[in-house]
Order: sequence, then structure tokens, then C-alpha cells
Amino acid sequence: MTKVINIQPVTRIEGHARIAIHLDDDGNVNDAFLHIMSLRGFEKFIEGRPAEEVPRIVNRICGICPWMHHLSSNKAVDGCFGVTPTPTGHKLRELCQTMAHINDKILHFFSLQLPISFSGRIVILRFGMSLESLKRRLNLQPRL
Amino acid sequence: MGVSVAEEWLHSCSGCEIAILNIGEPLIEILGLIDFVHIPVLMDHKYYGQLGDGKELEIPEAVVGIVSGSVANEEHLEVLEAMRKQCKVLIALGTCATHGGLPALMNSWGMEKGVEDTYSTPNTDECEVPNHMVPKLLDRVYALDEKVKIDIILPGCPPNPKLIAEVITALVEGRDPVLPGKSVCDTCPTKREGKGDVKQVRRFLQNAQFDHEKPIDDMRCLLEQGLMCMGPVTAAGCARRGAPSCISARVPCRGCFGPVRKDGNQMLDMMNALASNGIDFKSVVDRRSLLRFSGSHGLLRPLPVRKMTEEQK
Ligand code: SF4
Ligand code: SF4
Ligand code: SF4
Repeated sequence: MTKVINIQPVTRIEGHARIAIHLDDDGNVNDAFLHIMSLRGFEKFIEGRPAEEVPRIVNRICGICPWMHHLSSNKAVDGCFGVTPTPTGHKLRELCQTMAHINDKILHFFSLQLPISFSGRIVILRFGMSLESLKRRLNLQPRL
Repeated sequence: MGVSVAEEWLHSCSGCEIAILNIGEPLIEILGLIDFVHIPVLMDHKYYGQLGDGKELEIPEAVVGIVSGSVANEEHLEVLEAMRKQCKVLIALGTCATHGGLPALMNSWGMEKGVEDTYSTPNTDECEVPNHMVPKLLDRVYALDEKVKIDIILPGCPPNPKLIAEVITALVEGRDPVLPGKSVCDTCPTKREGKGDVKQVRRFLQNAQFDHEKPIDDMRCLLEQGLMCMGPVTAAGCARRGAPSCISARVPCRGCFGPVRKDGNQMLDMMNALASNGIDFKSVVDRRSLLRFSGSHGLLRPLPVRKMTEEQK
């Protein structure tokens, strides 16, 4: 019988996922899967919406990085209408993109990674986790 | 020990969880009053034990449960039912959870057809819809209260961090939270000049008219300018700097806080609002869009498939 290491759910990302690593009798990896557990289907349900509304719909693809979806769909709509933004408009978009990068990194580092990756006491206490339980988490080794 | 809180996300985008983090400074104080026992956006607590070798879904017991996202497959349902079982008070966070949200637009086709089509768009390679070890789809997208009892609803896409803080603080203090019960228009400072001469609403292809050096309360109501603004039929709560969020960006409201009354119908209500202002609702180009955020509870249904005649083919 094959053993499966089941990582479910994958946390601190958008995109509900599960990782399943299948081992053979000798404990070697036989196969591995990344299962995406939930699909909303934006590709489908923007059908029939006026093109100019799409940037205000697809930004909900991801709440961690909504700007990227907003800006790229703006680009797509420009293409449909055959227009180019003014130089000011273009700069504004670049500024938005840059701000989004800054926001992303801060969010990722301080909120999504730091509480779990480091034993920074204040952060841990703030997120209601004891140092002991954190140590346990960090020492976690899959039992093969 | 603070008040224990468990949080889950279902058919969602994680924007609601970011809204929790966006509480900002006051969050530090709140985190002194509560203990998160499960929250996938911040904590690596797994469903089937940390090694994934458990047999049963493990959601820890908590006083307060917060769930974002709607319900669209069997895993969502299982997690939601576990949250209901383990939590004393269950909060539906965000419009996906309270009214289906954007994902419920899929109800215009049904989940199965919609997902099938998603996997076979004209510009992607043909492939099969995955069915190996992924949860089975439900027939359509449901709001949480269609599946379990919900104690508090906190809509918004995303919800207003201030209101999230208010609800959590109120629960910790053992009082009822103070939430707005009005419409976006009721909180909108734009100038209204009464029934105008607008007979039709137009697509948002040109900006509204306003003087960018003057404040929002100098701008004329967007609906009176002939733009489809859903302020009249949308629950208030998004205003952060005085005016409703979109209005303060000088763009019309799209209804993201869901209907004013919990079981209202934003499409019907909007048609009424237009009619009573003498605006022809036939000028709305995409009527289904009026249920863009609130298509669950059976409001958005699959369109009848039109049979094509031989000539049309
Ligand atoms: S309500 Fe909006 S912000 Fe919240 S999960 Fe749904 S799409 Fe994202
Ligand atoms: S219709 Fe829109 S612009 Fe006019 S008052 Fe209502 S929210 Fe404000
Ligand atoms: S103005 Fe309307 S669409 Fe914009 S944030 Fe407020 S409720 Fe949502």
C-alpha cells in the first residue's frame, strides 16, 4: 500500500490547495500532486458583462494581490477598444503596480511569514501562539 | 486566555482576511483580547493533523467563528458544518459569505456547466475537468445561511475593517455590535437636485463630470448624471473617508455590500429605483450585473437554453 503525505490545506496563500506526496514501499516519492481545491471560474462568468466592467470584477480573483488583476484586465480592455492610455494614465498605472509590489512584500513578510517563521516573541504572542507550540511547528518533520 | 476565534475561507479570494489585517493598529489591541485557534491565512494549522495522517477534519472549538466565501463544493460544506459545530457564534464575513458574492455569478450557468466551460475557453488547450482527489462540485454557489445557521452577517467586498473590529470588540464585551442599517445613498454627500431630465443610464465609458479640485459634496449625484449607480439599493458601510469608497473615487457604486435589507433583491430594487426616477430600466445594458454580488439564494438562475432554428445555425 502506498503512503500519502497529505499537506492540507496549504496555508497563507490565496488559491485553496492541497499537496499530496505519494510514497512507494521503500519510502521514496512515487508521485506528487498539487490539487487546487476550488475554482470560481472568472473566465466564464465575465461572459456577457460589459468590457469596461471587467477590471472591477476580476480584481476579486485574489484579495492578496488584487491590483495586478485590475491592471492587466485594464490592458486587455484597452486592447478590445483599440485605445492606448495617455502618458499620465500610463504613469498612474505604473505607480499603482509599484505600490502593489510594496504592499505585497510587507504583507507577505510581516503578516503571512513572520508569525510562523521566526520566534519573534511579540509577534507570536500577538497572534496568540505560545513559543512552545511554535517550536513544535518548526521542528515538524514528516514521519516517513 | 482571550476569547477563542476560529476563521475559515471557502469559495473566496482572501480579501476578507486581508480586511481583518487591515484593521491596522487597533488589531494589536484586539489580538490581546482574542486567541486565534485556527486561521489558514496566518496560521499553519492543518485539517487532518499537522502530518496530514488524521482521518477526521479537525477544527478546534472556539467561541467565535468567522467564515468568508460562499459554498460551492463538498469540502466547503464539510468545513462550514464543522465550523458551525465548533463555534458558539458564527459570523458570515464578506458578501460572498452573506449573498454569494461575485462567484455566485456562476449561478447563471450552474457550477458543472460553468466549470466545464472554464476548462475549454477558445484560447486554451483542450483539457479535462480535474476529478482526481478534488472535492465534488455542488449544483450552484450558496451563501452560508442557505446551508447553516448564521448569527451575524458582515457584508462588503471587501468588508470595512472598522466594522470587523466593531463586531469582534462587541462580542468580546458581550454587547450587540453597532452596524449601519442604511443605504449607500444615505451616506453619500453628492449633490442631488431632485428628479432630473435623465431618461436613460449609460455605460461607464466616460468619466463623471466633476471639478477635481473641489470636494465630493460639490459633485452631482452620479445617477442624476446618467450613470448606473447602485447606491440606492446597496447596504451602507463602505465609507472610510467620509463618502462611500467608490463615490470618493468618483466612480459609481456597483453594489458590493449587497442589498440594504438582508433578503432584498438588488436587481428588482434597482429597477424600481430607476422607474421612480423616471429612468427607463431597459437602458441598463446588463441586468444580470445588478445581481453581481448577490446571486445566491436562488436569485441568479441558469438562462433557458435558446433552441436555435436551422437558419440561425
Ligand atoms: S467578499 Fe469580496 S473580498 Fe471577501 S472573499 Fe468574496 S470576493 Fe473576496
Ligand atoms: S446614486 Fe450614487 S452618487 Fe447618487 S447619491 Fe446614491 S450613491 Fe451617491
Ligand atoms: S460604493 Fe458601492 S461598490 Fe463601492 S465600495 Fe461602497 S458598496 Fe461597494
